[in-house]
Amino acid sequence: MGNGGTPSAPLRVVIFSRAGMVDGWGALGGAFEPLRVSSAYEAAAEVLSAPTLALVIDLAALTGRHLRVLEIARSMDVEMIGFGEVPAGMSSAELSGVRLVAPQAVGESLRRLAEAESPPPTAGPAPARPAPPKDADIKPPALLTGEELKALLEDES
Amino acid sequence: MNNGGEILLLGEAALGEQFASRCGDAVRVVSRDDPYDALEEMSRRRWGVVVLTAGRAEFESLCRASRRLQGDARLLAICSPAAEADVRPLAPGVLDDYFIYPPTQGELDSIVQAATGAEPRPATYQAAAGMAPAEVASLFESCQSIEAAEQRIAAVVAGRLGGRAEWVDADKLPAGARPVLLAAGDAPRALVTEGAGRGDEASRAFLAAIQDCMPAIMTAARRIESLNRLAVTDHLTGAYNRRYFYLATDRILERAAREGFGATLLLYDIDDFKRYNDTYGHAAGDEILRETAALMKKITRAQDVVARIGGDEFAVLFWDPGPPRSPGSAPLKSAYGLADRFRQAVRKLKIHSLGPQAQGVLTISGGLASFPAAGSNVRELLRSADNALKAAKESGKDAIKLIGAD
Repeated sequence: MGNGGTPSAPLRVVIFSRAGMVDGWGALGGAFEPLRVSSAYEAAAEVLSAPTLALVIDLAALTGRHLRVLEIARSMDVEMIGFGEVPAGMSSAELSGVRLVAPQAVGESLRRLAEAESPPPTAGPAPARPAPPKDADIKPPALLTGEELKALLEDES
Repeated sequence: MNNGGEILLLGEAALGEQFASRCGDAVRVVSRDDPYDALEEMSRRRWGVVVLTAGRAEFESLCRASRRLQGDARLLAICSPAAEADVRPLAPGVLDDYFIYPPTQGELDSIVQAATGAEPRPATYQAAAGMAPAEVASLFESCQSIEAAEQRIAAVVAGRLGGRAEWVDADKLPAGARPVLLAAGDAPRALVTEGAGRGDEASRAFLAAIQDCMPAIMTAARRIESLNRLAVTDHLTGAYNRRYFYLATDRILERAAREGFGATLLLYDIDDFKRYNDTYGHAAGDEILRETAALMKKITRAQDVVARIGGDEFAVLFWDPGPPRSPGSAPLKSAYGLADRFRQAVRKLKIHSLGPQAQGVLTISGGLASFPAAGSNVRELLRSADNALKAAKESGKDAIKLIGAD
């Protein structure tokens, strides 16, 4: 897959899990850039926004409505590591490509993936998609403008 | 920066078509019904405006995911009145703004402007001015209002030439003053410097390049000012809208708490408004709302906030940043006086659509609640004022009641 970074760049790992489930993995080490998200939508956005080594999924938090996040990861060649209880009714076809591991084995699986990830021969790999926008500051809109507003609210100095 | 004239809408195709037909030809609306389809669409390119329909499960997460992928876009939500309480905390912040379905034409206009109106940053100015990229960017980023743009330009010029730079009305230029920049318009303005001349050749080239930029900067600033005004204004009456009222009132109350001044909220509506609408038609109803709002704006003071917050329901925040006063004393009486003067004036109002025989029958009822005795935030004050309004209705209408008064 596409980590897409230089050999020294941290390997981006998107982790979608319930709070507390990632405890006990042990430190992943500086080779990784772990990104915790709390929803499948955000996991999909992270996978879509930058080259990612792996998507780690707490399967118990994944509902049938969000299986598309797996499809997206698959289409982006992102490795998928699943742990925890598989929700009832979820088929093996739907989980195709997901490495099922015990929660305490996630760290080790990631380290193996990192070892297997061969560095690109030269710097400057081409990402699969156009560079996404940077995580820009969220600026509130200038809703309150105009003379009246200034008189009302901005004369607090 | 902007994917000119295109809006990405997360919602059913039918809504997309409806939206597109109301937005007109100025924009193309691309709709995606599935949130993941929409997220993939967002990952492919930058959009000027992304509109998300609320009411879906995990809507906040979806908003955050959308913001992650579209950091520069204007991110808006469209929601039903019932879903507004869930959406309101997200804007401004994760969302830039939201609007209630169906959007008013004014709201649609502001969305279309946001999708089409971003002024491209002309890179040639940068080379011509010999300005650092940060300087050029700062000029355009300051364009939230004419005043902000003027201040920013003055700061950039002062930084380059040294001394002080100040904008004055061009027809009030001090004798002998030689402006370094001019801003054309209905009221032309001139930038004069103190302690600095036009400088060497490089500085003169710099000023000439900024002068070239001025029309684009001012046009963009004017457009954004107008867009912002639309976003906070009720299209029918010209009063502020509900969103603005909540935002402004909370900020004023925070300041009132800090500085110890009084504020009073009036909630009023037209007595038997439905009957007027049913008897005389919606045009008459609209005229009543317009005329009473205009009357209230005439009666209130410059700092008071007049807003239409529902069908025929208006809210007014009277406030006065004078010296501290005890709750229930001067500010409340003064607000009561203004409200009661308004009530009496409404009885004399001429509403042409009602015809001559109906003159004098129009009345309003209102409830007043004072800060902080009757509530410490806008919601609490509205609740208290609503109780007072109910009391006014029960007393036979055409009355103003104070919460807590006999």
